[in-house]
Amino acid sequence: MKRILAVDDSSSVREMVSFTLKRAGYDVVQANDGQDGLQRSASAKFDLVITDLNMPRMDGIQMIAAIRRQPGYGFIPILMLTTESQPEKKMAGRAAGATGWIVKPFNPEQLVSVVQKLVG
Amino acid sequence: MRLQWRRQSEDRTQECVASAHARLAEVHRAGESAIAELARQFQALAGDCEQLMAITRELVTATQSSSAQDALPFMRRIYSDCEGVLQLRLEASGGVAELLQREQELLEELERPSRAQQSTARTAKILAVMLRIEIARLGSDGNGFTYMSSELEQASETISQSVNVLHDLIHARQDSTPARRSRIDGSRSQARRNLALIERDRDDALKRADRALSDFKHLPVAFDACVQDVSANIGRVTAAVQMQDLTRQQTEHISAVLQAVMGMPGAASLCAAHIPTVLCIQHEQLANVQRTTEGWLLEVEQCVASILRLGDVELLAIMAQILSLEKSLEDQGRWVAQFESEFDQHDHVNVQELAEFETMMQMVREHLEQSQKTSEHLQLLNLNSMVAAHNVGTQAASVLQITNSISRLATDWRGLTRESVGSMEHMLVSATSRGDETRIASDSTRAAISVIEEESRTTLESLRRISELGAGCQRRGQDAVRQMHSRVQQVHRSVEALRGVVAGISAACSDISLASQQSGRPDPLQLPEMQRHAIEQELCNTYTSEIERQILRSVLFGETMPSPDLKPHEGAIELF
Repeated sequence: MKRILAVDDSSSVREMVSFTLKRAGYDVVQANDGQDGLQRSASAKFDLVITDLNMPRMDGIQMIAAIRRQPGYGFIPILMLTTESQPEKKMAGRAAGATGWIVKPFNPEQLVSVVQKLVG
Repeated sequence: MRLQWRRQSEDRTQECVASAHARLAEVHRAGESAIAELARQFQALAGDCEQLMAITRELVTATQSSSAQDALPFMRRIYSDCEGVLQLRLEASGGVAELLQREQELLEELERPSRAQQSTARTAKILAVMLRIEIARLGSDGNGFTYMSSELEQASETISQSVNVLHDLIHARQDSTPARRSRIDGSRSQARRNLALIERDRDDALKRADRALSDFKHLPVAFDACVQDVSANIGRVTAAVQMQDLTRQQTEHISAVLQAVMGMPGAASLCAAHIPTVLCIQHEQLANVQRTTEGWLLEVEQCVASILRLGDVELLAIMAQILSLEKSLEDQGRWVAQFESEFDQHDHVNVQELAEFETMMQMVREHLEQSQKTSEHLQLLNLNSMVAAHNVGTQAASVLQITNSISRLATDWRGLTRESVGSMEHMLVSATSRGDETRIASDSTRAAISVIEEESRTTLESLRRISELGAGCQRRGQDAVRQMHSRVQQVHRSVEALRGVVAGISAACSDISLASQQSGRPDPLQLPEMQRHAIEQELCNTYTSEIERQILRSVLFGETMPSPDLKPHEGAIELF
């Protein structure tokens, strides 16, 4: 079973991501901010990471950059899931190593479809 | 004085802003826990819903099984077989009725030779008496004829007895004919009534089964639609719950701006002249948050109610159809059992009739054998008489006349016997043929009923298994529905808690409105364009979401105010 790390400071969004992907057959681990996400990614291997952008302690872009530096995370897909859609933010996310950008609120079927495309 | 009034007004504005800020802090705290609870309850509800859908899927699969789908063709075949059996039975009993008619004709045919034989028997007796007189008259010459006399007496007695038996038999059969005809006609009428009942039952049962199976045919499509509907509702609630993240971010940004208005340490700097306009913008931002939150709470309630309705209706509809089909087959099974019992009674009538007929035929056969022997015996007597008369000479002329009479008697008797045998043979062929047909029809009917019963049992067992599965599914389904109802109550409680949060937002909105009023409530569109751009510049770093920026532009530049958008952003997924 593929493992997915869902990082968001909003517990309701984390729950919705987790709920949607678990129904599709994935194992989902939740982290409540960038710092927590980084620690969890260091202690276990994930096949995909989905993260919010604006979070306390460490934001999504900083976390992506840090995760990319970790061994084994050079090429795993990382998706940004955020309310923001400004091109400059997207550019920053892409530069940090994000694989894709999803604007909230997400459509559960579309999310599953993208995840399936990326990790099978 | 004016300065004092202005300071007092600023103080009141600050008080209102501080109150709004405090309320928003409470909104954050209460909103977070309420939305977390709602998300938890909703996930559990979706889990219940999936369990219910899995149970329904089991039911739908069962209704699509070959056992259920074969029920209608099978029922049609049973009715057709039963009709065939009844037709066979009517034909067989028709054969027996025809046999009865033939028997009547034979009895009438036999009656004439039987009467003639009675007359012959009387003649034989008279001849025996006359022979005895002639023998006495001949004295010692008549000794040679003595044994002939006793033989003739014995033969006449035998003839008389045999004829009487046949005569009695003919009358007994003729007397009992109306009763036997009535019995057979009654049995045939019953068979015809059954045929009419079958047609009526068949139409009802087939219509019912046809309706059930037609509904079954649509079940997979209806179920798929139901699954899609539930999935869409879950998707809508998932999207609605995410809106809380958007509104939370909006209220955080509003709080940050209010901190700047209050000049709190660490807050962004804000031009004092811009504060009245900034407050107007905050009011619009918060009003938008309120509308959005009310909108997604309504969406959650509607989706949850919709999910609940789907679970109830679909499950019960399927079960009703399965039970209806099972009842049709059960009725049919009971009817076949009743049919078999009635058939046994009818068969008994036919078999009894055939047995009685065979007994009668046996008796007639015995009479004819006896007649044949008597005829041969009379011929022999005639021959012996002629030899004895020749030895005695002219004195035996009278005896010779009697002998000639015996000879004529023997010839008549042979003729009557031949006539009776002719009628008998004709009757025997007809009776044997009808008897065989009836027996074959009876055997075929039994075999057909046996096959019908076996097939009926097998199909009913299959259907019962489906029904038992259905009953189990229904029980589990009802439990799941109960669980869903209870979960929905919890969702409603979470929604109510969030309505309390909305009340907090509304109160904060009023505070900001009051603060704006205290600060003079300017019309931002009347401000110089340069000043409006400066305000936009001050706030655009705080407002990071698209909706916040749209509200900002609508207040400052009169652009269209965005309406709360609760739908997921179709196509807003971009892979780099």
